[in-house]
Amino acid sequence: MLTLSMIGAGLSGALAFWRRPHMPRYWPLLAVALVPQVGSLGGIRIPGMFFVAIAVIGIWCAYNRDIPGTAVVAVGIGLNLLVMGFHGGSMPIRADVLLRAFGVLAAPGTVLVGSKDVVIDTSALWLLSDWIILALGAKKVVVSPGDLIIVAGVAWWLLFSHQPGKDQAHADIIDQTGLARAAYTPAPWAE
Amino acid sequence: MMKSRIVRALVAALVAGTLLFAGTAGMGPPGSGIIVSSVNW
Repeated sequence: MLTLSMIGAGLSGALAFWRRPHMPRYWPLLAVALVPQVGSLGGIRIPGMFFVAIAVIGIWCAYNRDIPGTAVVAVGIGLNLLVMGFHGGSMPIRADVLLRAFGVLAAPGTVLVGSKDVVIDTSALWLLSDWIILALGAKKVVVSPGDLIIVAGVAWWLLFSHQPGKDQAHADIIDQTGLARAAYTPAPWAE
Repeated sequence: MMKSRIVRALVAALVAGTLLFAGTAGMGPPGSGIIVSSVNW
């Protein structure tokens, strides 16, 4: 998932370079959400740490709710938070899904390193868990409905929150002034 | 102009990357030795 996230970040940067999106506020808050992720890369796993990270992103979405796309991200975050909240702060993945996707047999309750997942037998909220198997070339990833919604929200933000720069805004004002002059026709008796 | 575009691209990449990495909870192909412990709720 780190590789996919880095590819997504690169594409987003390229898109923002070409087309100015509405830049969100309080983006350093997201650095707080990154801390547990960096810790997990180092093999550190504290119960609930991923839950906290996702909750921080939810707060960030609330601060930026006026920006297109963040409400969609918040919905995806909420779905992930809901199911993770019921499973000790980890994302559940059914044992049969794990077997089907990666050929790995693991007992329910097993924590999987390098992911936020914990193996479950079944759950009332399994529809919100990681169960959607996507084939990306030769590799597979398993994602949750919330993950797909988050990706859609990020794409929405980058594509549909275009904010003209100062130069473009100035040009727009000049255009509007020209249109107003063209629309004004003096009355014959005024000349 | 170019500098502001580069800064904007970097911030957008940071925001999008963080949202994707920290917000999503998908799982990629596991390596060997993926199982570390069992939890009980």
